[in-house]
Amino acid sequence: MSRLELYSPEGIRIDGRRFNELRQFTSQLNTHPNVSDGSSYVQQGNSKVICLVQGPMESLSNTNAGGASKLDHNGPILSININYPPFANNVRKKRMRNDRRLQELCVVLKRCFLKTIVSKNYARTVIEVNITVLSMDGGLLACCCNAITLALIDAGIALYDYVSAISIGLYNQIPLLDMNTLEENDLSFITIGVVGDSDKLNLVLCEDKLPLDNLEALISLGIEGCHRIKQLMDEQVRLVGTDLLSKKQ
Amino acid sequence: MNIISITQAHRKTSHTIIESDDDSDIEMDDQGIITRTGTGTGASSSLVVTPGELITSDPTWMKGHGTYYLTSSSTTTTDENNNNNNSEMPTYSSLAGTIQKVNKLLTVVPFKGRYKPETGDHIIGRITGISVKRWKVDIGGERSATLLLGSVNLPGGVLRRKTEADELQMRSFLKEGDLVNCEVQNGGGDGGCMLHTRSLKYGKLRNGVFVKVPSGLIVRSKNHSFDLPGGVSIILGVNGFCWIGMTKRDGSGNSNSSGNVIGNNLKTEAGLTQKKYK
Repeated sequence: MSRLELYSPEGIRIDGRRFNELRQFTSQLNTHPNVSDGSSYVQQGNSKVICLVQGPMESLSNTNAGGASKLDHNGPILSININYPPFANNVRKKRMRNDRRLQELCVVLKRCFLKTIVSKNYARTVIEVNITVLSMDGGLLACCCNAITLALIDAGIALYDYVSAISIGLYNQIPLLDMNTLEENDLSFITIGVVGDSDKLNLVLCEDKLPLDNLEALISLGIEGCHRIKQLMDEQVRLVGTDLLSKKQ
Repeated sequence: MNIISITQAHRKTSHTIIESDDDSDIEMDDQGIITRTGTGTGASSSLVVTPGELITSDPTWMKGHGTYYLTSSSTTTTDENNNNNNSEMPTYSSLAGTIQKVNKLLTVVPFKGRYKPETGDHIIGRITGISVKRWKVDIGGERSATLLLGSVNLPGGVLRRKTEADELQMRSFLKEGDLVNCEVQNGGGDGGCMLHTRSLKYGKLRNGVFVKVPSGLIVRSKNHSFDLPGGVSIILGVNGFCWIGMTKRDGSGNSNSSGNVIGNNLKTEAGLTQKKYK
């Protein structure tokens, strides 16, 4: 395989973007109104993710019947599940049901959203989040995080703020925003989740080695990107909300 | 640092390159709805807010459901426990919905969400379990409701004593999966709500079709059961559970009497099926 030119001297990335350019971000809310309390669809470039939220409810909807006894008196039990079918990747690959990496991502997301949900409103309840990856072209965690935020909002669950996430990679001191698969394979990257319009990070995940002195530049670009994504999500929430309101009257 | 993002064309905008600015004012111009993120207290009644949005920084407003405020020590507190001095605490929204103002109480009513029981609601529930002297009822809310043995009408009259024999044969009155037409006795709160069927118009539902719609679409009104021409009656439960069934004609008029008493099933069922073929 020939060496790919990930970043040309003219400042163009492999898919024709600039270093600070997001992929096309599209989102939908309330996509599955009959089977879930909240649902969303997020598309970042060629990465497509569906998220369904059930709850808040008293016990888990499917099989896990033993959940009722260990309900939390201080907040909700958040169960996050990522379904990554074999066709979602470039190369067809069967994944084990308990893939180590996916489980790790679930834990990261769970920690992030337990801090974001106004937990005292949902004591002794269960919130079940199911994510299905339809196609993946980089930014798995970021897509999932954005999809969960939208689905939770759609479900009418109280959140302190939006959490918008993005991945940022590093190419020779240059931070690259919103990586795709080709870039993710060759470069080290970090995923961050930002709380609303603030500079607070609710989620940081780095699975590669990254020089520490470049971290600040990466994060500052990432925060700007997250703010933009939050803006796009907010527009969509308002659009769907006003649509729902018009149906009620 | 500017971010370049190309968004999909929708409505009027086409292939826009938007650069994020420092101020984060959000406006939606395509439907004439303009929302603000700045301060400001007096605003129209149906204002759309999203989570994390500053509603007001005026401390005179009381913070109701769907809002939160941050204390100075950055610990977060929510909702009703604003007895200590929460002055100078700006109110934020925690839901996507519309602002509702009652006197000085600010609440955010979500666009969607599970049914929240209120006392007096006429609802339909599904029995999910039986425990000591009570049925567990799924009413489509966050928590399931309780129907006490003492708050149903048992066969043989309204004022019958509930004996131990009744306790033992609770499953013969209402079993798992049955639909009950009932009323919320005391709703809200944290510990789930109590139901009762202590009126002749309530009781077990049979011979009909169950339909579930989003609870937000049902308006609370004085009457929730309607008789349609052709012997069809519908019950629109406030929780979005609806029932389409045959009009009960035994008794006087549409206040369906003895036919609705729980446990009186066999005879009524037979009677209704006969009527169906007349």
